[in-house]
Amino acid sequence: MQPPHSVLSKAEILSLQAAFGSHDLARESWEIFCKDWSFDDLFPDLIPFVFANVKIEDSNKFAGLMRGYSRYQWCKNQIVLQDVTTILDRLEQRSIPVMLSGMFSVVQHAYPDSAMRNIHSVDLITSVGDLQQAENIVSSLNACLKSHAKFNVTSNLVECIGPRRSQDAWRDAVECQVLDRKALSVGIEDTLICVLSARPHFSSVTHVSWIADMTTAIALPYVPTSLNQKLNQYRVVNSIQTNLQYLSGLFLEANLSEKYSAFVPLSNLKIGLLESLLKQTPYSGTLLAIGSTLIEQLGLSKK
Amino acid sequence: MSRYRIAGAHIAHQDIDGEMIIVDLKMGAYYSIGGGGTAIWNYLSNGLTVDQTVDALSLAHSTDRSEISNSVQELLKTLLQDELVVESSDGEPLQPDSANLKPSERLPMEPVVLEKFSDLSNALIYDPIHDFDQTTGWPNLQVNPASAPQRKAVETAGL
Repeated sequence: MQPPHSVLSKAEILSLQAAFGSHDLARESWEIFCKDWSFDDLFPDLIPFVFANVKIEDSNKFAGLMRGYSRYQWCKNQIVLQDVTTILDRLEQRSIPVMLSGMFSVVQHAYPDSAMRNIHSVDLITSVGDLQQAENIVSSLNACLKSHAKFNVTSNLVECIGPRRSQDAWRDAVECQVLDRKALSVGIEDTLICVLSARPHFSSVTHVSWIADMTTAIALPYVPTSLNQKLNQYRVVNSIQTNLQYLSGLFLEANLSEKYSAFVPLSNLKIGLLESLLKQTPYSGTLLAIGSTLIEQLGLSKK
Repeated sequence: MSRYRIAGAHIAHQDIDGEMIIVDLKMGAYYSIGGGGTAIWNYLSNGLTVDQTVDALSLAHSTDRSEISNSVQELLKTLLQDELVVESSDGEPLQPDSANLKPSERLPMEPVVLEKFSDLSNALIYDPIHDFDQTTGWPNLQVNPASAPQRKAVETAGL
């Protein structure tokens, strides 16, 4: 991972505390860290996120391009949303219930503004019985869709959390707005459980955004409590809850700690504790991957 | 006295750091409204009449009322012509927040800047970082101007 990516992820984590306002620490850090970069060092997907959260003076060499990229991403997202409405309309005509899920769900629930997150794919959850027909409909619409987003029709909610819990997720789906129409979206808690249940496909391109999604969602004030309730309903082992709480606490601590401390490596003790907790869980592979990525993202190393 | 509203869900808009960007998803057009135009858009699209908009802006700015009125009328004319807003008789208008401003706090209203790019899909083809002007960014293309999106810039000077 390139150093600027690491710094961007730090800036991103820092900005969570500010609840998407401009935060002194984030602003100051940004100005310090970006001074030696070229624009090619920046991770494009994060630019609107940083631009929205960090006050960047007009004199900053990145200001124009960051503003431009923010416009660009917002416009692209509008076209994706338009395509989503086209698909939803057609599925509704055929009486096929569908929930929006995955990244789209995170964007809808966790980000105050969809412009902050590049929507490059949209997952549409149907029941197993409707899957084939829904896939055919979406395929038939390909020619008239205007965006370059990937639209994935899936029933993998069942695969992630099982058939009974899948029914719970349908029951707990929440209404969201997609341009001029209402749609159903998987709740943020079920989204997180699904995301945590499935090993993410980390790559140098995607994992920064993935971390942004996870940290953004878990940092929402109501999520730790409601996530615990959901995990209890699902009777997921306690260690998972512990780890989620710990991860949530770790993110919050990174934000709430005193000035500059977020840039000071967390203590080796905390790293060891995190790793130890992660290894104890049935989902250790996934959580260890999250933890390892976090450690990497935060530039931590054990001495 | 006419009120206005955004023409429909196909008109999406977003305030990006004080600049109002608007896309017409039916026509594939992109607009950027800056300067004093952002406030005019906010007032008109939230149901204020032209007079109410001019009143609100006059309270907030030291600029001559007639000049403000001209700016509002001119921008509204374009918004109606391009069908970004339409006349409306329903809805509660937004309450202007400038009523408590003291005269000493008033600043001149910035000139209204409106830019239109009639081919959004074309602008989205290019590399948003390297193909655009480094100072102003996307969608202001810096290379290969022969294939640049059709651009029509309107600036209302004098305010």
